[in-house]
Amino acid sequence: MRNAVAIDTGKDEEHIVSVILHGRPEHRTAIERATDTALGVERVVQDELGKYILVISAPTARQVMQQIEALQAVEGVLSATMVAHHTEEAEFLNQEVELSSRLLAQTDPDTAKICSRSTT
Amino acid sequence: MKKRLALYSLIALVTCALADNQVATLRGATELLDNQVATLRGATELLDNAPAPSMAREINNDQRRVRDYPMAAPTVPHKIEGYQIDLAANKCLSCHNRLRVADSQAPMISVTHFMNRDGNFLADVSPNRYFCSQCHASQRSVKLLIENDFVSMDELFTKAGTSH
Amino acid sequence: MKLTRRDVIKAQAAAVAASVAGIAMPIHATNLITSSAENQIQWDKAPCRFCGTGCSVSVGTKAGKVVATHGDQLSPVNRGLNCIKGYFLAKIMYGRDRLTQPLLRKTNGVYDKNGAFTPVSWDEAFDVMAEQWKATLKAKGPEAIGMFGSGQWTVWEGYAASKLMKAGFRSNNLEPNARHCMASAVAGFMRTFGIDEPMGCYDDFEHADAFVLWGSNMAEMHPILWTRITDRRLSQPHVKVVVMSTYQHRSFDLADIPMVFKPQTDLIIANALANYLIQNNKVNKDFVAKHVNFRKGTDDIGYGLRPEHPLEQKAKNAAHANDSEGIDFQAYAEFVKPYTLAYAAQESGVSEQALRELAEIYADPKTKVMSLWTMGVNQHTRGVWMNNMIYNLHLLTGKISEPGNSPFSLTGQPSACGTAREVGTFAHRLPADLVVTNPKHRQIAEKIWRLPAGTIPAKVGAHAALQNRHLKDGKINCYWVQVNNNMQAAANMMEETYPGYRNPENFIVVSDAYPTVTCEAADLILPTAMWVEKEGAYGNAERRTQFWHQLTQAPGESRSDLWQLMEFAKRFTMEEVWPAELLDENPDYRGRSMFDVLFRNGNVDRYGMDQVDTKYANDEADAFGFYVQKGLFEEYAEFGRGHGHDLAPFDRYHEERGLRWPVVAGKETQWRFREGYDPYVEPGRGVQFYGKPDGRAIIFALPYEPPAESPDGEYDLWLSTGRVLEHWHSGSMTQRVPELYQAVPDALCYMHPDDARSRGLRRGDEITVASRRGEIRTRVETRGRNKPPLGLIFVPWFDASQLINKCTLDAVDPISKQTDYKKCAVKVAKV
Repeated sequence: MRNAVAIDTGKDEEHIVSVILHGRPEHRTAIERATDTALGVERVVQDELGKYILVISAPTARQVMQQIEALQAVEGVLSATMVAHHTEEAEFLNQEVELSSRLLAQTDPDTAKICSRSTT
Repeated sequence: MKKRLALYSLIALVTCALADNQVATLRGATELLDNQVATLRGATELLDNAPAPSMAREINNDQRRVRDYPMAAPTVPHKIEGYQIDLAANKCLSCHNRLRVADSQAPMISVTHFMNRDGNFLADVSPNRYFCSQCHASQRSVKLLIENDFVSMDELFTKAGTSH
Repeated sequence: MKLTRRDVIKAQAAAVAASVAGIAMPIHATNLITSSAENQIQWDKAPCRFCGTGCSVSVGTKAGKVVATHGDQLSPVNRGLNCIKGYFLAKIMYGRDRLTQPLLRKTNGVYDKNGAFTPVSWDEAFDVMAEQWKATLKAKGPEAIGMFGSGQWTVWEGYAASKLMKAGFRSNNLEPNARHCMASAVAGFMRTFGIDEPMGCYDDFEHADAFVLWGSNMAEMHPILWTRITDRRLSQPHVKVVVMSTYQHRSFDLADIPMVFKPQTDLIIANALANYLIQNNKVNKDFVAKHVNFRKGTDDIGYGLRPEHPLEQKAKNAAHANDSEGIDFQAYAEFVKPYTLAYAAQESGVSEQALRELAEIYADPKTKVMSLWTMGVNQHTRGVWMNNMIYNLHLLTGKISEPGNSPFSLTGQPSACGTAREVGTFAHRLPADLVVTNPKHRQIAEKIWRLPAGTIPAKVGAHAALQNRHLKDGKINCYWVQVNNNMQAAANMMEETYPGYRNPENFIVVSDAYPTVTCEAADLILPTAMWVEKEGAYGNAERRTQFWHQLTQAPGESRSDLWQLMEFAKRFTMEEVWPAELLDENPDYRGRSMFDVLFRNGNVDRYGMDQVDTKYANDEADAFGFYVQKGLFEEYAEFGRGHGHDLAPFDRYHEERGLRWPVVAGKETQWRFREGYDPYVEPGRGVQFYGKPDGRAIIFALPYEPPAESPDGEYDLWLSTGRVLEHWHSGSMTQRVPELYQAVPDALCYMHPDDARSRGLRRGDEITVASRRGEIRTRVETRGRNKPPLGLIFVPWFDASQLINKCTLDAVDPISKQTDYKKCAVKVAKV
């Protein structure tokens, strides 16, 4: 059975969620202020019909949900729908993408036993 | 930290490494004869029967695995054989639901599970997500029969980065 | 510029959402990633490659490769959900052992049936293949060639194959593997309603008050539809779920009324429920009077085995299996009277209490009930009868063709409906429910196909099981298999399939993406493109036709089935395939190639390259110089438009998440046969089953008849076979996906613990499972997802190393010719 030790290593997690927010165009100003001032919420792109693509990042899933609930409560917002949800330890998210050549040099020989990239 | 980094680099290396080790890492791999092609079956003639492999154990080390793309359903890193998911109880949610994670320290189910079919956000798990095992399976401790050369978007972005 | 992993993930999450919302991502919003357009992920829709549910997925491609998939939020079928198999669609094309070159068995540089598989060019492959076909046609005629295709063919692949065989080679020996899965459903529809495919749609899930699973295991086999049932059941406390099966499986986890019945007694249960309705005055007399006729079906119809088999010798009416005589309601009531609940309980092992609760669900006029079935009912020696008998219940009560009241025949494969059934790739069929035996239907096809009168053969060809027998007997000598793994899938491998393929008189060609056991039994293997490596269309269980574009390149020299079919046609002149008399009467066809006559007929080649969407690759259009998919589709659509099978214009499907036919005046149809929903119902009729000339559906009086082979002294266990959630069919795709393989790597023998104990077996022991025909080696599982009752074992068929069809019997429903995979007799022994 599962061991009782916590899965979380105590390291910080980050949740990244993309959201389609649909609002009435006449409430655009209020909606945009709400998305601009909400912690961890970014407005990526929108159309003229009141649809916005947001990306929300937060340290816990609960906080993501709270942000979404808060946005749904803004006047003029018809719906906020989650699309994708990604979770990872924050320090790995900080890694620079172009570091791959340096990573190659640091290969741990123990990992050669692993035969599939999707298992540990 | 080290293990994660190593996994990351393995992603870039895996093709080269495995090409050399292919036979050794494949499960009971045997050379096919030149009138055989059925790689999943190995060298057993169609009319014959190979010994049945012993039942493989579920991996139970709680190690979360890297998902190859964000929307892939994560596999379960612990044993779930015999877990009850029916009208009476849902064993998975007893650890993974929102109100339980403080006690269980299990990762909370993704926020996407609180959204129902119509896109409405619910206070609890959406009923259509109730049967966890339709999307999430544990993994058995077996070596692969056939390698898969799927290239993740991370690798492609990495290559794009280094090429500039 | 420096990018972090966070930047990349955020950009991807945003791009996915934008694609779902239909908003274009401008360059400046993605400056998180180096700016070139090539570095963005492109998202496009496609139906899932797997089951008949027909979920839609968004496929992410980058640098020519598929890098991700996720559930399509916009599809009404799945609204963003996938099952575990669907979540790994992005990996199915990348198994390392993809076939990339044609392989021909050779010895010393020459074709030899016992030779080594040798890479050859497409030219040489088709040279040898054409030579074989021509020799056989010359020596024995079109009845000696055959083709075994698939409910996983795209719509235009099936259509091209149908033309190739029926119009080109003039052979009706064309069958899909859908014969193994849906033939009983089709015959059931044709007998009861006169027209194929469900009258309801998936919207029924959100309206029904009760769900009755007749032998289906939706939790594993139609998982996304199961989520809709789960949602309904857990949100609305009055909803009831009834699950009936010969063993307990995962769908029982949601059952309010679980029922494990003795194999084949579903026939008795169905009649008992009908009798209950009549005896308790719950028949909707008004509906019956207006919309129903009664007939008594012929019985004692045998088991479709070889004619010399004692069971066939004994069967009085094997040659008239589909006959029936008109009766009235009174005669029907008398017929089902002996089928009391008590009798059904006694025979089936289900409690009378449970049967009564189930009967009340059908009886209560206020309860909207959805009946759901697939292989338990269809893969059954009396599968057609079962289909008819479930419809009986819905017709007696009038619970049909309206939201929530829905006898729903679920489909197994992704396009058994869209391709096999609707295009008619069967030994007896033509498109849009037309049949080869009807001269008027042949005329219609000859007209649309621009062929001389008399081209299409009138005699029904060999059905799937018969094709295997003919291969073994040397009556079919050239055989082309596409998109299926019939060596693994067909019943009775040791006695029929294997000897047939390895018969020295036969030349077997197999087109596949991966090297399967069917490939191994073949003489020529053709490497084939799969799924989004070609532009395609599938039709799912609720009549929803869905399209996708080509999104990536097939590896090496592999080519789509469509390309292969059309290219092969170039190798023949009409003189080599049509009889001299036909050409004498129609000299215009002389000297032309078969490709010309079938595909350059002014119809199929009507749409030029200018019509092809330049945003996407289209290898087949490039190869042939015109928009082949559109031409084939629009010609095919001529059969159905105006005849209840209307398809929308081709281009529309690329824009929509599919449309449910009939699509009339741009509008899809959700419920058929009911006024207000179905444009084909004449005003004032209310309900009209227009597949029948008088608009009335038929209730059939049909009895119980035993299975072909039951357990006895020596072979003392029932064997049932089927699938598991994590693997599709024979596992050729899913066994090559690491997460799916490692979820369930091997087949197992699911067995009751007491059955194991009484045979000296423990969980994990290696055993042989043996029937009179063959045996396999496997391991005992007494604690798994499937919990059989005493006396029955279940073995799934996805495992290439455990070919359970060595044990099964090729008994079929004599009307539908569909194999019964759920009932034969075996014994187990410790190794």
